[in-house]
Amino acid sequence: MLPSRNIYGGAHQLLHDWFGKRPNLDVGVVFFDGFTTSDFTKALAGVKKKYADRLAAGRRVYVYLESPCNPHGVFLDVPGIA
Amino acid sequence: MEQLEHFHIDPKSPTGRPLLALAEKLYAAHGDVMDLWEATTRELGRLPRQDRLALFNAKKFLSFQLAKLLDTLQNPSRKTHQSLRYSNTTMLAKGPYPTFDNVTAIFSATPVITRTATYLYACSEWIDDALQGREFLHEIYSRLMNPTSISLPNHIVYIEAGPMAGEYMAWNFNSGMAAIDAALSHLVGY
Repeated sequence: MLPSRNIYGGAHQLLHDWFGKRPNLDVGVVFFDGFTTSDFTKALAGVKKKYADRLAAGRRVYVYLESPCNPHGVFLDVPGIA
Repeated sequence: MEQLEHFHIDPKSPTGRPLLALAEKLYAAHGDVMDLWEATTRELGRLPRQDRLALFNAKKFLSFQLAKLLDTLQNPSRKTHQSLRYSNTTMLAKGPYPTFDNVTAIFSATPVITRTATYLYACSEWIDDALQGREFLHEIYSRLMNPTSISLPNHIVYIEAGPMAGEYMAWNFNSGMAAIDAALSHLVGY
């Protein structure tokens, strides 16, 4: 999973503590900082490299965004990222 | 015939004869509806707008005719129910059978706000079908699904997607975190 760092605290906790933790679902979770398409593209390349084995085995990358972000109200370049 | 046998009703009796005739026509009508659905899916893209409008109006008319059929059926059904002479305790607890008065809700110009927690079933086999996910007409329990909570996301799809509404579906949840958890679990769960 490639979620934005700028998300609601509850969603962050769910991804970090439940989906991401090894004793729980052990899903690969990498948060990306920043707001632009270029910030996202860099993070996506990192994820593809880090989890190349899982992706080769048929797993997929899912992107999770919130915009405007809670609680800071910043906007992500959603059309660019999508 | 199978349906009458299921309920131990003699198909040659004065009430059995019209019941059998109606049941056979309804089964045939269901087959026709499925054919219409299939033909519509196949042909709709090729039809000019005027024909699509005519098709929609004809189907709307049929929906009203079906509702009228169901509403009329409630008259002999109510008479039969009243003749059972349930005890006062039962009648006070249950009241009249809800389908007697609910059919006209279909004609409400805005979606009906449904405040029920549980649902009625035609027979015990349908409860099993509902719980196994084989009968989509029947809800099981309002925490899981409810006519109002089906209507809400359908309207949201029209608001959000406009002319692309046919390409999307939506679900509504009682909290944002429930929605996020459900969507993510569906995608990345094992």
